[in-house]
Amino acid sequence: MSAMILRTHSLAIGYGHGKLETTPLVPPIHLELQGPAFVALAGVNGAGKSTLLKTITGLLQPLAGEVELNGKPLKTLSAHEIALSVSIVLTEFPDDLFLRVEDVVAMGRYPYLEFWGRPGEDDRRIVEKSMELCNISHLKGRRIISLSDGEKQKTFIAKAIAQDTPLIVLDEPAAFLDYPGKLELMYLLRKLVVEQGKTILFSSHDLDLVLRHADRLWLLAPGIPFVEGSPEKLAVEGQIASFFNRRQIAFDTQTLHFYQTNQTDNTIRLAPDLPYRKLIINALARNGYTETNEISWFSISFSKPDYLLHCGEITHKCPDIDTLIQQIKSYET
Amino acid sequence: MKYLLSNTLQIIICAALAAFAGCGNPSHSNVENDDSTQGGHIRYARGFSMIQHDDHAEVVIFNPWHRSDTLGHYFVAPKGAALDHISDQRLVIRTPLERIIALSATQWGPLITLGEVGRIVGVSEGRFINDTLVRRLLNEGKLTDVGGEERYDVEKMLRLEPGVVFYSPNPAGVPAQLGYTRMNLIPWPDYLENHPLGRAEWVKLLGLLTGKDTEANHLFEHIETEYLTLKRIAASAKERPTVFSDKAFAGQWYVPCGQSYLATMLADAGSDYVFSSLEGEASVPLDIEAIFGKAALAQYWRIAQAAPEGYSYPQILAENEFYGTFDAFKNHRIIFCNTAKTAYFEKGNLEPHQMLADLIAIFHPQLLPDHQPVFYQLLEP
Amino acid sequence: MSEASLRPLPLILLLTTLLLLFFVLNLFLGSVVIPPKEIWTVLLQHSDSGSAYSQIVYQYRIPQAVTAMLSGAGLAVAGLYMQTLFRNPLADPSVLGISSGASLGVALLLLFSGSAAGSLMAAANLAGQTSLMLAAFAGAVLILLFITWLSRALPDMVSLLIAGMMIAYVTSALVGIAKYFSQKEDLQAFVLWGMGSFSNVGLSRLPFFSTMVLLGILASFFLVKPLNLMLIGERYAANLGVNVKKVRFYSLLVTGFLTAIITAYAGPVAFIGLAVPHLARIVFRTGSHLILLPGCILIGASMALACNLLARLPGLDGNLPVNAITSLIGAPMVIWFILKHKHLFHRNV
Repeated sequence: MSAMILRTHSLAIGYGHGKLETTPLVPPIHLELQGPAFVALAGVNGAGKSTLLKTITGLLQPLAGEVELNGKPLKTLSAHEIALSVSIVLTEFPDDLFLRVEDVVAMGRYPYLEFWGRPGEDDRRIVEKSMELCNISHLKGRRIISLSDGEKQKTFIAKAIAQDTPLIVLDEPAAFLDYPGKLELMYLLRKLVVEQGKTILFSSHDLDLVLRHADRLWLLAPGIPFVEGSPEKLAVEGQIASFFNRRQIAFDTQTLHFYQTNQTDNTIRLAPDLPYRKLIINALARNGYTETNEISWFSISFSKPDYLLHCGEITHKCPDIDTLIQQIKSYET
Repeated sequence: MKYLLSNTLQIIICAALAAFAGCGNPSHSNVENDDSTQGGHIRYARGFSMIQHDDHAEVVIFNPWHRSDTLGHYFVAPKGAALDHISDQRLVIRTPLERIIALSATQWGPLITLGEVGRIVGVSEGRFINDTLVRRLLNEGKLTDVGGEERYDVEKMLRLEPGVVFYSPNPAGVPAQLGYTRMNLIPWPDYLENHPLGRAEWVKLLGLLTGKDTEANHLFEHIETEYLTLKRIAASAKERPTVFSDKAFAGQWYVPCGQSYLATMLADAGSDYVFSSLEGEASVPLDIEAIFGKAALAQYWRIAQAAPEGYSYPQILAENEFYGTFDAFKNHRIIFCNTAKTAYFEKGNLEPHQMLADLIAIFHPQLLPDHQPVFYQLLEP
Repeated sequence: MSEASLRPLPLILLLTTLLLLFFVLNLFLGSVVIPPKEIWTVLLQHSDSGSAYSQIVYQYRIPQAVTAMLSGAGLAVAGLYMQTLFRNPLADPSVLGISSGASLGVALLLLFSGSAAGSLMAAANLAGQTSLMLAAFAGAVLILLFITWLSRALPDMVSLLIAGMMIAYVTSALVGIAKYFSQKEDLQAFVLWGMGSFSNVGLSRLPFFSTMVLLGILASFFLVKPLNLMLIGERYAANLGVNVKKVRFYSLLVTGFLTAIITAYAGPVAFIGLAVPHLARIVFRTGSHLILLPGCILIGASMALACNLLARLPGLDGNLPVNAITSLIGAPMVIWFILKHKHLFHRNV
């Protein structure tokens, strides 16, 4: 069942609301987000990712334009209504000495509690479940200042889950996680989308991660109109390439990789049936060689058990990829 | 008006500063206690001594906080008399003094009484002075107001070219501004005398310094006779009503100790001062509950205060609701002296007999049936 | 390593008992020695019979004890909320300059009334105690209004804290100037006022004072839930439905009011507002205001009562200034507490 979670219209974001003449970071944004969905907001640093997230969650006033949450204009929503619509996970953590994990997660139930803030049975159950989902149940009695950054973050994600909102917004959640941690995070977030029907919107400057895991991408870059779509669609349409257009950096739509292009444009022809073809392409790209289908001076083929490097008339036998690359490089004088 | 009150509080504050030394140990009596040797014919005052030699008088003013030390040592002789045998000529004072700056009412008050107002050129805190003569002289410019305590206008003082400046000493020494000049300074710790006649006796020193020795001595003898007569009359009373004194000030209630000026006068008036067992000459701050514990049932309550608009029981109660718990308040037996309406500070030192009579007339009305109060009377409800 | 927080209820009961004990001691002990049996008899009468003992108990000791209790509780609550609002463990009720405002009111009154308590009352036809209290309250409230106005204009609490400190500096400077031009007696009066005292509130003033303080403490209960959320940060609190600006405003108002009224009646009592919240946190091992609020009330009241007792021990016929006792006794106590529980402060446990 899909629902219009978020919509913006001519939204201009930036700081300095109410002051004279502030130029917005990016051109006005129109977007629609139907849930459930797993969306990543990507862009280079300084593009305004945090600003956009703060604006659509009501933490920051837009310079112009409108935001609608669940069909209602954000301006007209009370703090309580917003609390029921969207929960946030940020990169800041409190330093109170005594707060425990379970205390923090329980705060997610605040919008549902009665006057004194005492939780009921249901609330307690939800808090337990949220902690389980994030794998921090064993930490619940620990004080949060004693946790690692990753554990702290999971605590706040659990809190957002406990808040039970259709939309969860995370600002740079992968920023200080190690690589397995990043993967874990992606799987957890996806689980929330698939099993709980939530809409997840997170920002990241780690494009590789985002390209591999997100269902939809929102791209934000200074001065360039906002663009969104699936990673594949955006790659094929060349949007990604132009978004991150920097000199000497090019985007390979086939592999969804970026690579430097400052080296000489050397081409090499590869036989179609090479084992570990992708690895060879990667190694060649590292050394400044791109694959081509045309006739070129270098070409590689395979004849069990060796790779064959053809340089013009000469053929070298290379037992493994390393030797292959070395052989090619020996030609550069 | 304010200054008049400040004088009492000056006493209390300076005394309070020495409270720890003052109360709790028996007062370290002055070394010279013997009447005959101490200051010649100075019998009550312990703050100074005056010994008559052939051609001069030797005056010593003692440090009130440390009686074995002196604040001043002077050789007094009339103008023209040769005093070559005095080694330090700076200690010589030639009488009669001209151009006196008197920084305290207890100094110029007696001067007026002696008829020597013409010698005064400067006073302090003129705005608080009630005395009509002094006010007139100030308005006519014949007297100059040299400023308030701790902040004397030294330039004004110097311009007056004073022959001498009488000042009130404090434990910290000479007030800073005065000490740097070369004006002749004479400390005047009369207000620290704990005996009413001792305070009055300082008029003898004034008499000496203004050439009015005879008049001063006569005046003092009159005061002494009157006072002692009244004291005898009071002693004949069969009962001694209980009494306590003063009020709380910003949360602290300073109670005069047993050997203080006030305690002495109250005892001489034939009353029983409930705090007479407190050792010392100064005042000590007590918790109001402790005071209540002792004075709740006291018959009389003595208060001296500046009240230019008059004073009343409701006003007292409004100052501090605890005052209403004392019997003396409930029974409207407050002995009140309005220092703004009476010459308590200017004339008080020289009229202890008057004060004593007022008190006796209240404590034992039958002993002085036709007495007209001058300073103290029962506050009307 | 898990560390369960202590169950609050037994502790609360214990603290309540302690409070009652100190209260009773304040009734039975004082500068006048009264046999306990007499005091018991007097208390059973339920009202002042007029005898000396009865007056002492009803006019002096009961008002003093109640004043101390309420002042301690009120200041502790104000301190707790200041520390949360400003996210600063060193904040206390004086941090906004409100007690300095009260001092300024008193200093100006003493300066312009021209004199010591005596002619002040005569000249201005005002009663000494009342005018002191009014002046203190007026000064405090003025600063409070200024601060609340500032809080809407300034973006965050750090700037407000700095502004508050600057206000405190300015008022202190003005007080210094007033002192400079004051007479000796007024200076002394001002110094004495500044030492704090629980004995200036008599039976007739007690109902008004108690009502005001209790109202303030009651109002503070309404802020428990939102302030708990502010513990994790204002952004999270806002996202959870807290109207941060409103909460800030009302917290300032409540704590400012409590500080103003208590300073007006008891002078600037030091230390309790700063130390008691920390003690409460250590005792209850929690940061939740739901538990800390009653905790601070109980501990604050007990501490004030204990200090009042020490200031007026029998045998010490004078009374020591409250501020001296609170700091002298309180500070070592806090240090001892911290040392005893230093493991709580380790961040890696």
